[in-house]
Amino acid sequence: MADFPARLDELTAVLAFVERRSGELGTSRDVALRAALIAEELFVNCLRHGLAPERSRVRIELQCVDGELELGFEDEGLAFDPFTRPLADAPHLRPPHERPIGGLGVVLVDSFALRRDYRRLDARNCVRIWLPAGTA
Amino acid sequence: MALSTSRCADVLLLRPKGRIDHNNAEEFADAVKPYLADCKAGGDSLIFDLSELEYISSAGLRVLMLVSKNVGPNGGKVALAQPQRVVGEILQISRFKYVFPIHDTVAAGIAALSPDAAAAYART
Repeated sequence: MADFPARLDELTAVLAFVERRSGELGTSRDVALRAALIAEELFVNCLRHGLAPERSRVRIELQCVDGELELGFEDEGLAFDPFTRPLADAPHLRPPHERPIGGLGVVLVDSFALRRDYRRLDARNCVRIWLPAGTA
Repeated sequence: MALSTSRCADVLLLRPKGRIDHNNAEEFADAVKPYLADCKAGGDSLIFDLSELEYISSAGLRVLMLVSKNVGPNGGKVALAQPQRVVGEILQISRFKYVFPIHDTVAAGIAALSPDAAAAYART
């Protein structure tokens, strides 16, 4: 487990931790990159929505269980479940000329996840994502 | 992230290398911007050669959407080519094939855009 200041300039450290830890757990480079993407999108999401209070920290942990890589992400912001947006609002489902330029972060997290879970515990948003830890 | 370019006739190849994330997506946007004005009907076409791009997050996809919104009204043609596995998955999930053609190889992308450029590329 590692924790980081909830600031965008910590993103490089967050990604380095996730990729290094994934490697230590024996996942392939591709799995490490998928995990990094998930961590980046969750990290930026909690900053962008102004939910992370000043000087707060985020906590990230990874473990491999039964062939799955489990990524835990916790922040100290206001209660916010990132997965509550209706699928119909997803930007990638709109016709190309109507697509907004952004908004794909949660779509990517959701698509790479085998399962996901959100809980509000002890004034923290606790997200857990499971993805295949295979070799490809 | 580094961006290199090369030209084959009327097709400009843009080759981002490394990673595009929320820390450097603006740098990517700034690097691409000078090539957009000439990407129009009767002008240049652009191919993003993704063979050396290891990672792209939603911040990088946002820049690609900006490219689409910028050149689309002028009739500019843009294609993506040869993504690495995870980058290809990210493009597939976000349904970028409905924004730009995505080709397995740079050669196929060039051939789809311009016979002159394809001939020039074959000589390289």
